Amino acid sequence: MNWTSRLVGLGSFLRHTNAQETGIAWRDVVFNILVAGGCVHLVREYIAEPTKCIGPSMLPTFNPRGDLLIQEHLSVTFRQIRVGDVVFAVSKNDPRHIVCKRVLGMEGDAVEVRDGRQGALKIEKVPEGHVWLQGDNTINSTDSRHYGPVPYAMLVGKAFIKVLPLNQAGWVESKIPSYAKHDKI
Amino acid sequence: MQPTLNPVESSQADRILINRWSAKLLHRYERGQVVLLRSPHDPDLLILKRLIGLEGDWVVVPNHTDIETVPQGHCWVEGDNPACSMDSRTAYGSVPLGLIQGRASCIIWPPERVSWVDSHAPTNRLLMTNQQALQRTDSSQWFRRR
Repeated sequence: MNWTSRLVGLGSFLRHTNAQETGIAWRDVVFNILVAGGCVHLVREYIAEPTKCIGPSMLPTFNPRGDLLIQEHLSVTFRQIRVGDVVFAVSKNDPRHIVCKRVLGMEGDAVEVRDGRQGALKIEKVPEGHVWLQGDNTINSTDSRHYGPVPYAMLVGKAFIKVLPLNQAGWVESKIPSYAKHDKI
Repeated sequence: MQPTLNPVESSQADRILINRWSAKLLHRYERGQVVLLRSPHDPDLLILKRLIGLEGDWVVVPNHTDIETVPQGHCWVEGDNPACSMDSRTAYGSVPLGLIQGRASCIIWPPERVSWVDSHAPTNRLLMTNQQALQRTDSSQWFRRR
């Protein structure tokens, strides 16, 4: 069984034709490529997809040169995001950009926020339907401290496996950084 | 969104077709379009509003003395029926553009109402568009430098 007959297989099975009689049925090949493309799109859109996280804002956790992560969309769809998860979200400043941040507060939480390393401490309340996102690199990160809480509907996925670089590969830990305390109100 | 959608004289609810390419892939946002967006307060709620102002626009808020400047990456959305509409005026304020899911392109049901959804920017809602505001600040800086 060579690769062409494999490509023909599913299409001819679904359309009750026999590939052996007519040689290679190109219509079946096209059909199968379309089906495969559709499946890939569905998986990437709704289940999981590889993503590169570039920039210094998550520095101790991810390298600024760009780590290859796998993000999954299921926990956003089923509202399973918790405090401490690393998530991807549409940027509030630019709808074309996706940012990678850590969730420090869900709706109704009060988050202790410090500007930079030695900024003034203030307490922010996260409003209904919003989350508080912050980069792990507090000194160099544009996040909720600048543009306020982010609507939950702008979350895209949750980072859960780090693939590259290979020596740091593994699960992405969900943890609350020591500087961030939060209380439920 | 009365009278644009679900007018009083119509017996059935309108079914509309949403163009998801224009907003999600091409990121084309124009004043006057009817857009579908997720509510900032509730991720499960989809709302349909008219896009009034884009980033940098100066919006006139009714029953308010001050003028709102739409921040970067945000927009100002309003329903066509000011009497009963939860929108930027009454509830949300400026809304992030990332919440927009698509543009309402045409009404497909009931059959007698099949048409394109008209896209018109209402007058007297904007004090200045972002282009005008930019020119204004440019010229004022020019004067200050002199």
